[in-house]
Amino acid sequence: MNYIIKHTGDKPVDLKKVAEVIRAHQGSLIDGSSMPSMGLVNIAPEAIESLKQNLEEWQVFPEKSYEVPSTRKKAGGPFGRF
Amino acid sequence: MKTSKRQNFILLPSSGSEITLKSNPQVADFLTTLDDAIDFHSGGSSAMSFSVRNMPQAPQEEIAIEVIDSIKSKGAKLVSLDTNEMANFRFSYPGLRIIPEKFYSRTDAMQERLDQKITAKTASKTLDVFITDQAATPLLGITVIAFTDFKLRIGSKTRTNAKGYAKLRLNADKIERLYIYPDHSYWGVLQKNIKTKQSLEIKLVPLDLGTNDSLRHFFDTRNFQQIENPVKVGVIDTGAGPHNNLLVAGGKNMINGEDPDDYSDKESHGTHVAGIIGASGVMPGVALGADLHIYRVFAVGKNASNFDIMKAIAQAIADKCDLINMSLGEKDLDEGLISSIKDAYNAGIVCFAANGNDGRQPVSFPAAYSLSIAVGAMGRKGTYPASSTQADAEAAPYGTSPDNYVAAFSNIGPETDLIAPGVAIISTYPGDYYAAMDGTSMACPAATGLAARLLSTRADLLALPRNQVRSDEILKFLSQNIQAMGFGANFEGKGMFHLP
Repeated sequence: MNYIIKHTGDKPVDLKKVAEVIRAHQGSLIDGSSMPSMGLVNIAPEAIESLKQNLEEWQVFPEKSYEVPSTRKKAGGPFGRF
Repeated sequence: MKTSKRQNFILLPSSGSEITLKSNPQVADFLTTLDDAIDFHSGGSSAMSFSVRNMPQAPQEEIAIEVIDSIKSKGAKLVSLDTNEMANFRFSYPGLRIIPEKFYSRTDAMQERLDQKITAKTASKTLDVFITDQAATPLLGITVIAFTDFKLRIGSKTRTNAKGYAKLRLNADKIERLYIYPDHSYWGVLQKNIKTKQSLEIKLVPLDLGTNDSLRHFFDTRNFQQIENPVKVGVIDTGAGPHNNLLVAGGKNMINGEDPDDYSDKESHGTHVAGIIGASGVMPGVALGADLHIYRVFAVGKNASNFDIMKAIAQAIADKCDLINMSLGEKDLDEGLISSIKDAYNAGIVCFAANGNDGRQPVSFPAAYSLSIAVGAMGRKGTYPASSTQADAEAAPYGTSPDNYVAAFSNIGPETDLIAPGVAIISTYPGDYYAAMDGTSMACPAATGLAARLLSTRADLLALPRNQVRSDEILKFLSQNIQAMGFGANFEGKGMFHLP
């Protein structure tokens, strides 16, 4: 599952240490384009509590998806959903 | 007619749970005043009245608040107030998060929803629909949807081929509703209770760019001047353009794996949204001259990750945007996005978000979040053909003008701050086309663009240091330019922006 890590502290980020913590939890950084302030990490849900405890000054949020609200009618039934 | 309904809310500073005199003295004073009001010795709450600020049209108005509980003198307060006063309160006391008090039940198992599934074998007949323009030229790629049971949403969907034909498979003798959706250039069509024959021929009515849609009925954008001072508006969407009449100042593609410099629109939603704010040409946006910054977060055919939206907000902060438009939403709160909207607010940026289109359901997130401005959609009869799909949006309540109505699809609730035209809005479409679209997605940029136009008259506000006080002051100023449309606060919040 993907999780967002967001830096909240004032201290400079030690990227090497962050990478080590993620690796130690069998996770991987899949989008580092906004580092050192934010990153997207793929990691098993059962490892997330431990990751939170080991990443001081970082917030962790699950990745979610948003849709463009449409007003077009949706049909279900015989010919499938669309 | 307004019905009074009191509800408990938690008041919090814009960030954290406690505020210092230094960070925002006005909010700190306000929370302390509420704290002082509680008489804990009598074991009860305390009723107070607060004036509605910055409302020259009703200077005598007051909001009655019952203070129920407090955490520290400058910390969170539990208060009770009339839900009709929510929008007034938000605009009068910006800088506070107003969160409904929630109660959690045990997590009992819920029944799984079961949709009626009928196999393709039950299709008993076919219907050929032939779609042309007024000169009988076949139209390619027009979406046709037929419902044989609208309530159960049983139906068939297809698109026309190069010869203008669409073949629908049906399982009944009657089509309850037939919807025809052109992507651009024409009005859609809605027909009800059609006896199925072997074929049906429909001529689409072209959009007339010389007439007024509901947005231009209220705001004569063709005669608007360019805005006075540059206002930067961030649009977080599917991208925007290219379109000859849509000038984009900058932007970034936030989707992982895509070219960061390509924020063009591969679909259409973002181009339409951006055009409502800042297009030039025959159908100008409400804030012609605004600096549009486009942040692409929707990959083609996919939903947007909150991470990409959070990156987009961070980029909008770095780009020094003044306003952010988010015509997107989903049902549940999201702490990640909340933290980013807070960051924007604390950087002097006000975020606008669409109420959602679920048909009178609760306001979607992030519109429902108290530091966002939640925008519902309204329509006006006579601004689209009576046979168009837009007629389906007409529903009570009607406003002080009986031709105005709250769009049937618009979500509602006490979190609603504003309403704006969102039915049959004509705006830019990729490929230099124009399209009529409906939704709170369209109402939201109408409100954001009007806010940009209003804000452009206040160079003093734009020059303020980029912090929470700037956002507070922007909201206070905007609140002086809102007019109730007669729908009631649950539908329209404080009303619609009006220009002096």
